[in-house]
Amino acid sequence: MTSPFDREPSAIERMLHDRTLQTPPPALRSRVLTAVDAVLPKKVPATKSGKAAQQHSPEYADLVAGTFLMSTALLLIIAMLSSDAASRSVSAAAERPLLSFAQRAEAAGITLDVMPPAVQVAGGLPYDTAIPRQRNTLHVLDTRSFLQGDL
Amino acid sequence: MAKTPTTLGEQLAAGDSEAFAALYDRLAVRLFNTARTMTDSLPDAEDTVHDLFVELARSRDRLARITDLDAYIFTMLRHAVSRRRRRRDVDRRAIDSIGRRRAEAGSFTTQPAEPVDDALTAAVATLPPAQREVLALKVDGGLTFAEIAAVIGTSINTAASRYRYAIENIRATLTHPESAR
Repeated sequence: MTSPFDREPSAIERMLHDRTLQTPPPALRSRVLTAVDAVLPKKVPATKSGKAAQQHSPEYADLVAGTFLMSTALLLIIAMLSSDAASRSVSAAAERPLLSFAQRAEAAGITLDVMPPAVQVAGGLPYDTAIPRQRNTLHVLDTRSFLQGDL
Repeated sequence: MAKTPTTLGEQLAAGDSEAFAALYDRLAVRLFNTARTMTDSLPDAEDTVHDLFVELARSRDRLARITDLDAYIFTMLRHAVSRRRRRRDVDRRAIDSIGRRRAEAGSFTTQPAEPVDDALTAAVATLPPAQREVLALKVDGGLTFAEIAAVIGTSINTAASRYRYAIENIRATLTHPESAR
């Protein structure tokens, strides 16, 4: 872009322009570009899919394999324990007669007035469906013991 | 998906080393000569260009958003020259101080700076820094007054008058060299 200030050069200006523009020393180019390369992030070789390949150490590969094996083993153990617990629960339920809450309370000689609120809320429901939902309160834990005949 | 860099600014911002080489090839002569006139020293001009490109590579992220890349780079050059000049002044004061003390102690005699044989270059060297800066950007950098005004952060009028004063001072120095001293 030029402006009205960019007029014809005077004699002095011509002398200044004629002053040979000095070429930078050739060594400066390599010096500058080497310094620039040192600052720029290193390039990672591209794969066939066009994405940069991830460079990992052998130790990293060992760590990944070990973690995978341990996770698989842990999952298997959890699955086995769960199926065992489930089968036990089913067999226990089959052995016990399915009594109502009121029948259990009556058999234990406890009146409903002294029951904790959670137990009262659960009253009338078969314990096998009502109890597991409220396992996180002390009252319900006590109630479960009671309903299972431990009291 | 990342956008493929198309402009030179975007390629520089992406860290493409070939883009930096292309930029150097395009601007090196103008930058080097501008720095030489501003600093009045070839080694300082080399170091300034070197520092400028390193700084460009470090702060490359912002280059993709720059509309006038040349003006931006000449602004960075001006800042690099200012930093170098300040550093050089501090060094020179320290060296002069040591030289005077040693000369007083009789260790050695101080030498005056090497005289410049080219009258025109000598006349440019006598200019005040603000005038020399505008002259360098205009003559060596090849910038217009509008670009110079943007680079040095003044109005076009100020840039143009500094340039005019610089030319007048050079003319006076060449016509009456003794009065300029």
